[in-house]
Amino acid sequence: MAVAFWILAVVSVAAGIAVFVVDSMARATFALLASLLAVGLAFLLIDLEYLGVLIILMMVMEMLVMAVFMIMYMMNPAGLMPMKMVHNHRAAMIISAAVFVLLVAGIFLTSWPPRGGEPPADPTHQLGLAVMGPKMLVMMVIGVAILATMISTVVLATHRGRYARYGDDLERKRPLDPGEES
Amino acid sequence: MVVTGWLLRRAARHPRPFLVSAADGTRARLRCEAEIARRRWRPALSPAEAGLLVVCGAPGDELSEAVRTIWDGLPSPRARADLPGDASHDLVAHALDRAVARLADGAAPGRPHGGPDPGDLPMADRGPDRDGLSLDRLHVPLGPVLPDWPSGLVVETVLQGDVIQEATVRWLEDGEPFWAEPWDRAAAGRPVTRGEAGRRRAAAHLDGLGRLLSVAGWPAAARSARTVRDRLLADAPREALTAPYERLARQVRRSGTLRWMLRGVGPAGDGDALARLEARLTATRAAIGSIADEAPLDEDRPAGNLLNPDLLVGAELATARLMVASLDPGPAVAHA
Amino acid sequence: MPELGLLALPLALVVLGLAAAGLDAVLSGGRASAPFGEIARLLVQQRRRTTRPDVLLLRVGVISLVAAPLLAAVVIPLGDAPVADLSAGIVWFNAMEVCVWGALWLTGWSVNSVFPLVGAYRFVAQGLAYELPHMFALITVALGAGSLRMSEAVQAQQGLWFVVWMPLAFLIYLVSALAMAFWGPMSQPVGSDLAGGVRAELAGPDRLLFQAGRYALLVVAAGAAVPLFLGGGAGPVLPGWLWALVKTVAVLALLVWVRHRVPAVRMDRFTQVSWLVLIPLALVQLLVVGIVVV
Repeated sequence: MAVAFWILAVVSVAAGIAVFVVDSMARATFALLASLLAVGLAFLLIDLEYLGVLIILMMVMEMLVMAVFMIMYMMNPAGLMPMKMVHNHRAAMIISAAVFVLLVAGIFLTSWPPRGGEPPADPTHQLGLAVMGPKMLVMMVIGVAILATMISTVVLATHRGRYARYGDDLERKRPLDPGEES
Repeated sequence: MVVTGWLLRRAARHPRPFLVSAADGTRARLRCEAEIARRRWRPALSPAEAGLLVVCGAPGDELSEAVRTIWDGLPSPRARADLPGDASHDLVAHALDRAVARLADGAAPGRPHGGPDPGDLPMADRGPDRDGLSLDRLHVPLGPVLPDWPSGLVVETVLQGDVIQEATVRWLEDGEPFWAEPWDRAAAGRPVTRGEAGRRRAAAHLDGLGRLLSVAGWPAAARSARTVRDRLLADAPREALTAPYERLARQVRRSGTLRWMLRGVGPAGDGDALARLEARLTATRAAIGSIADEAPLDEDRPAGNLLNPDLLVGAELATARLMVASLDPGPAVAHA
Repeated sequence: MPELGLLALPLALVVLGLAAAGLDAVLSGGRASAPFGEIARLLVQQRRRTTRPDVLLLRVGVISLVAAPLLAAVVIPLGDAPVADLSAGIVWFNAMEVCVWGALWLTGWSVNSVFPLVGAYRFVAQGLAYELPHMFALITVALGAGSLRMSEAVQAQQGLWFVVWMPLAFLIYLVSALAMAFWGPMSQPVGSDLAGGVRAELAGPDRLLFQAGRYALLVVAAGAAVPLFLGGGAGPVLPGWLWALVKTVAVLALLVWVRHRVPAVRMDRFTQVSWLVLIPLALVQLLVVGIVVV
C-alpha cells in the first residue's frame, strides 16, 4: 500500500515536471494526463473508488479536448518544430518552485486532526448523501448556473447562429453546413 | 528461422494486394480485381497495409514516380506484379501466383521508408478559416494513388484540419480508353452492336458505383456492385444479370443511412450526390436491359462528368471524397 | 473464482476476437482463416517509417489501445462474478473505454501523416457525439440496479432483464458500442476514404496490436451489454458462464453483421442526431426508470 502510494506520488510529480521539460504540445498534454491519472489511482488506494475512477474518466476526456484545441491552433505534428512549454522561463521557475515549497510546507506544518470514527462501508453512498442531502438546493442551483454559463458562452462565441444556418425566417429544412452558400 | 519461414508461408496464402492502374490499365485492373475476388484475398486500403503491389498498364512519368514512392515505402515481405494493360486472365493469374511464391520465400527486405529530410519540408503557413480564425494550412495532394480514386487524377488541396480551403485539379493521364472502346470501334467503321456498348456502359456505371459505395464506407455493397460488373465483363447473359443487379439496386435504394449521408453532398447541375446515385442506378438498369440488342450502335457515347475544383472548396475530406466518387469524373479532353 | 477468471478472461477475449475477425472476413468475401494469415503476416512484416514520427507516443497509443479493453473487461462478470468486482464497476468500464480516445488520438497524431491525423480528430469528434448518450444509458442501468457494481446490476435483473423495460437505453448502448470500437457504421476514424485513417501508416507489430485492440474493444463492448442489459448469466439449464458467453456471442455477431448492412456515418451529420435525438431519448428513458424505481 505504502509502496504503491510512493510510486504513484513520484510518477505524479515527475510527470508534472515533464510537462514543462518536453518540447512538444502532445507530449506535454499526455505528461499532464499521466500525472493526473496517478492522482486518480492514488484515490483508489484510499478506497474512494468512485472519485478515483471519475478522476480518470474526466481527465482523459478533458486532456483530449485540450489537445484538440491546442493543436488545432498550432498543428505542429509530431514535434516537427520543437517548442518550449514555458514562457518567461526564469520567473516561471521561481514562481513554481516557491508555490511547490509553500504547499509542501503547508502539508508538514498543518496539525492534521486525528481520525474520528470508522470509514463508511460504502463511501460512494456516503459521498452522494453528503453532496445531495443537506446541500441539494445549492448543488442544483450551481448546476443550472454552470449549464447556463456554458450555453451563453457558446452563443456569444459562435460565429454562425441559428439564423445563419436555417435562414432569416428559419425556413430552411436542412441547416447549411459551414462554408456552404445560401 | 524455421518459425519465420513457416509464418511467411502462412502469410503468403493471405496476401493483401494494393492495385494501381494507369489509364490504359483498366482491362488488366478489372481482370485482376475479379481474380483477387475469386481467390478471396482482401485488398489493402493503404501501402502500409499491403504486401503485394500490382501495377496495371503503363503509367506515365509522374504516375511512375508515385508508384516508385509507394513501392519504396511498402514494408517487407513484399512482392510486385506489373501487368500490361491488355493482360489476359492467364497472365494475371500467373503473375499473382509468382508474386505469392516470392512472398512465401520472403522476398528481399525493402528499405524502410525514410521520407524527405524535415529541413526540406515546407512549414505550414497560416490563413483565415471559415470561422474567422487564423489556422495552419497544409498542402496535401489527393491522388494519384489512392484506393477508389479515378486513375490519373490529382487534386492539389490546401487543408485546414480536414476542410479543403483551396483545390486545383490535374489529370496525369488521358481518359480510360477501355470504357470508350465500343464507340471508338464504331467510329472507325467496324460493326458494333448496341448490346455490346450497353454492356460496357453498365460495367462502367457499376465500377463507379463500387467506388462510391466503398468511399461511403459500405464495403459489402461495393463488393456486390463489383461482382455484377465482373459478370457483365465475363459476358454473362442478361437473365443471369438482372436478378443480382436488382437485388443490389434495391439494397442501395433502401439504405436510409446512405441517403442521409449523400443528401446535399456536392450539388452540381444534375443535383446532389444522392440524385446522381439514383440517375446512375436508372442508367445501369437501362444499359443492362439493352445488352441483348443486336442493332448496330448508332448513338454517341454519353459525355462523362467533369470535376470542378470549386465544388471541393469548403468541403471536408469525407464529403470531398464522396463528391469525387459520385461524379466519377474523367479528364476534360474530349475523346473523339 | 477470480483466479480462474484471470486466466479465462484473456482466453475468452482472444477466442471471441478471432471469431469476430473470422466472421467479418467471411462476410467480406474472404476466408475464415484470414485472421490467422493476417497475424502471421504482421508478425514477420517490417514496421513502416514515416517522416519524423513521435515513436514514444506511437508506442504508448498502440499499447494503451490493447490495455484499455483488457482493463475494462475485468469488471465484466463471466457468469456470476467478475475478476474485480469494483463498487464503481460501471464507471470503471466507462473510464477505460474513454481511454481509447487517448490511445487512438496518440496513434493517429504521432505518425505525422495527414490521413491518420484526420482520422484521429474524427474519433475525438465521434467521442464527443456518442459519449453523452452512452453515459446516460449506463446511468439508467445504475439507477435501475440501485448500484454502480456490475454484479449488483446482474442481481437486479433476476426477475426481468433490463433490456425489456429500458429498451431505448439498450439501443443507445448498441450504437455507442459501435462508436467506441469505431466499427461498421461508426468506422469513419479508420475509414476507407482516408486510406485506412488512423491505421493508414501502421505496419507490422504496430498494426497487429492496433487490430488486436480494436477487436478486443468490440468483444468487450458486446460483453458488457450482457451484464448491463441481458441479465448476465441468467438462463435455464446451462451454467451461468455459458449463458454469458452465448449472449456475448449473439451481441458480437449482431455488431459484426451490422457492418455489412449499413454504410459509414459522418459525424458532421450524426452529432446533430446524437444531441437532438439520442440525448433527449436517453433522458426520457432515465426519467421513466427513475419513476419506476421510486
